[in-house]
Amino acid sequence: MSGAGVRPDAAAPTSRPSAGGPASPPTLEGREVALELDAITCRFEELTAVDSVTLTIPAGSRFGIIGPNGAGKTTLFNVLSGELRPASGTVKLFGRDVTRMSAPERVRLGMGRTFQVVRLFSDLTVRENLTLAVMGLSRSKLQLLRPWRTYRVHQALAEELASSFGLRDRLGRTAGELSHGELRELEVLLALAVEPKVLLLDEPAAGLSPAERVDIQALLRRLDPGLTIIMIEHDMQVLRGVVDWVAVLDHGELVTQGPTAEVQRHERVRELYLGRAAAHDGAEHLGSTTS
Amino acid sequence: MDDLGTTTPTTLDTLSAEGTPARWWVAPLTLGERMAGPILGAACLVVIGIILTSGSYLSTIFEDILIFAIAAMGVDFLGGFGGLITLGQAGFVGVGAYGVAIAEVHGYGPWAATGISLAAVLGLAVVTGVVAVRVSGITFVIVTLALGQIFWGLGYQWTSLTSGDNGITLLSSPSIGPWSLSSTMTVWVTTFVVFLAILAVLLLMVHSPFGLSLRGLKSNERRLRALGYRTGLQRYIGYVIASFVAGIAGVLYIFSNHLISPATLTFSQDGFLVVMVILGGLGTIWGPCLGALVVVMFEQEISTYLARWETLMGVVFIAAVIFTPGGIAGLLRRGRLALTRLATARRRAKPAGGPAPAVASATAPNSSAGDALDAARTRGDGDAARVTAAPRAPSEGDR
Amino acid sequence: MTELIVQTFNGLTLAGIIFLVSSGFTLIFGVMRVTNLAHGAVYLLGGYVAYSVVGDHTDYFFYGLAAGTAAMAGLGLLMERLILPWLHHVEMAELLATLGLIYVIDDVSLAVWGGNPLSINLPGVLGESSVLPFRHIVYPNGRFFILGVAVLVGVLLFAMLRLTRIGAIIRAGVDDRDMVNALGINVRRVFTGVFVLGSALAGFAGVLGVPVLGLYTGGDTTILLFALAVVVVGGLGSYEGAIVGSLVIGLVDTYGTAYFPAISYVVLFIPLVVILLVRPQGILGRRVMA
Repeated sequence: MSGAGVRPDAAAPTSRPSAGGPASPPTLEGREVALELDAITCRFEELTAVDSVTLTIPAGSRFGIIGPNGAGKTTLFNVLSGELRPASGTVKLFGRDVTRMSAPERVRLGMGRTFQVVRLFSDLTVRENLTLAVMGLSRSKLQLLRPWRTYRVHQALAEELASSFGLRDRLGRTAGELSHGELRELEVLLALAVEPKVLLLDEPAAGLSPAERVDIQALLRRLDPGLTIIMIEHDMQVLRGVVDWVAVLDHGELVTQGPTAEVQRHERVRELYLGRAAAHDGAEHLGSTTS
Repeated sequence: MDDLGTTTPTTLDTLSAEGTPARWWVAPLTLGERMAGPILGAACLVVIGIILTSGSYLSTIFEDILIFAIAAMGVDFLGGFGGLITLGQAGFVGVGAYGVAIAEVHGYGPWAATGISLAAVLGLAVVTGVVAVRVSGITFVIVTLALGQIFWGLGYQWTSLTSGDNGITLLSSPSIGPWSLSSTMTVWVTTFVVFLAILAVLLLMVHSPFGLSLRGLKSNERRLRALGYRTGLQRYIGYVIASFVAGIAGVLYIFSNHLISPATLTFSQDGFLVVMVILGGLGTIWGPCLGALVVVMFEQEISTYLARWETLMGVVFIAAVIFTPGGIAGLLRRGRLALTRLATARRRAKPAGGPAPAVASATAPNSSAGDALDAARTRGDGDAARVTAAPRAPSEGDR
Repeated sequence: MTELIVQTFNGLTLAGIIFLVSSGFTLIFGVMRVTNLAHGAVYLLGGYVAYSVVGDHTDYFFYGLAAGTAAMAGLGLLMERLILPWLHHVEMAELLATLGLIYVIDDVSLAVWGGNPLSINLPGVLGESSVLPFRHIVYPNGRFFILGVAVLVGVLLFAMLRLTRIGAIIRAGVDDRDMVNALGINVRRVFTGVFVLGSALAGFAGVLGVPVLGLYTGGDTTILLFALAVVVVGGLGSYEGAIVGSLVIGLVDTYGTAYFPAISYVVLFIPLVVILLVRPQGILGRRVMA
């Protein structure tokens, strides 16, 4: 794989040079398939939001999904996380068909996600947010007669998570009081707290300042290399630092996929990004070979 | 964010069960939690004092207050914490009361009747819950209202079982040796003890992991589901608990009033329970007790001077919804905050010498906790599509 | 069989009245997201106002109808202008405030008109009965009249929603409030108009309902319940849903009362329960993302 150099796990023994052609899925021999989408189609009344998308995402990969507004990226995410049932097609998580499973069931199988619009418990404190998250997988979440503050293991986990990304001194604050950058971080922390094997990130850098973008990028790079990350992002710059494989969606269809550098050179992708006046920053992000 | 470069990566599996001890006691208690104890204590002393020094008329009123307070606390448990306000709670009070009366009519002793009644309440809550928790938000209010009216309709129309409009009179009260519920004082003390027990249990529950998850449910259901919570199950458990609490209130009601008729199950009574919760303070558990005090006083005391007490109560309630969404509890908290602010300002003014103007800043450690309706003002409703306030983040345009 | 036919006519008449009430409720909810629990109280007050106008002069019935409708339109205007602005579109707060209003309206009605049941008769030929051309069924003309009026109002409302500019704005508001805002339409005025229209419909139904259902304290709860059942069955905020729901609830309640008098309330809720289990958003409601 040409983009393997940027990946933190480049030296990992499971990682091998790509055998397939540029447009083939990023299957690496000996690597488990984390997510398999087969001909996913989604409709809202007349509009086909996702049109027969087929993708194979191996475990441990860093997978980017790009495309213009309305391309169906978030809809596809909602199908992956179980919030939306596709009109047709199947979703397999580590070989298991989860198409008909609810969101909480998929979380139990190792799926965590963030939302494009920050979705936190904004009237709860950061500690309470994180406690809810770390208790998501434990049986004690249905305990009725013991104060949650006395669950030391969970509290330790929550504090460890907060400390690891600089939110330690914010534990007592309500989430609504945090800055936008901190909210984005907390959003990622909540998704990490359920110990996902597959992490879905929906524009984690949206609305952040350039400095904050660098921070969130660093945060993402430090994540466990074994974790499969699928990430929607508008900003190719952010993607380039984190992912090594990119799939491009437009009007619900899969346009192309491949290693990040190759996709950047793809004609249709450049049309999508360069053809529109608003995408001027996309132009510089896409590289120097503009015509 | 500044320590991003220095900390080691988090891998959750590196954390052992013996990780850093959770210093939960350091975390700030909300003001409501800190004030609950003293206020309750004071209220209890006052109430007990009044009872001991007065005749049986007042003690009847206080029984009513305590019984409605129990049912209202159930409403608050589900509504103030889970965001699911029920307008059918009086229905379960009725089931609890009718259950005892009907079982006694069919020849069961008072203890067996109590057991049968509570079992009936639980059974009906378990069955109706399946339907009720299919929806949330506004629709939940509507559906519970409808369910409550079914119970009223049964009480009113199923005359062979319930004697219709006339209601059923209690045949006998339970007793253990000399401790018999046929004596006014015993009923009062029993009601008070049950009230305290339920208050304690509910306060414990709202601080439990389940209580926290209820608050999460109210705050952002979609996020909670993405964290692995089966929110339907949570709503269900919350609904069954709230309904069961109402059933207990119903059992106490029949032993206190000796008569149950459809009038206790009317929509107006369902509304009263919600009025109690909002007036007292949504999301506090103890606030609704004060609300029950106010509403029962309206009904029993103010009504003797003012025939149109319901109009007055309605106006007071609307005003409360508009101006003090936190209810009485919210007012108390505001008062306390103002006092703290004043005290801090004085303390600051002293070293400065002169009488400095009271400019207090950021004295409230946790001002945003509580005020449940205020919180509702800034968030979208449970049904994600209906956002009430303008969202700060860009709208989710991407489909 | 004769009995069944008569009950079906009764059910359709009831459905007509329920439709008038619930279409107002659902329009207000659909456009403004306001759950007006006082809608039933407005219905009852409309009937009371008409009673004061008509009294024993049956001929004045249509004056009463006009007065009840106009008075409730005015009350709707007051509610929308005096109370709702304080609540900043917080749905639960709006719902609770209208809950408080029920106590006020009902108590004032009680003070003015007392607690005894009242009635108004339909004038002239409407107050008489005819023999139907089949099975010699004798049936009151007034009920056909009420059903006819309900159908007429339903058609007019439908035409307004489908054919006029105002209707287009209202429908757009139900679908997507932000879009209406973005179009630069004065949403404030549309809201007021819808609230007034909805309340007027409740008052209108309140007057028409008196000859059939009577005029008594507590009648508002029953009608509110019907309206709520209709919107749950038909779909909250859907006008077409109100039509379907009214037919279902009107017929089911009438058959239930006729054939299972002891548990007619439970029978009434069977459609409700079925809908909630099978299709929680209602027959014609659209699914909001869970």
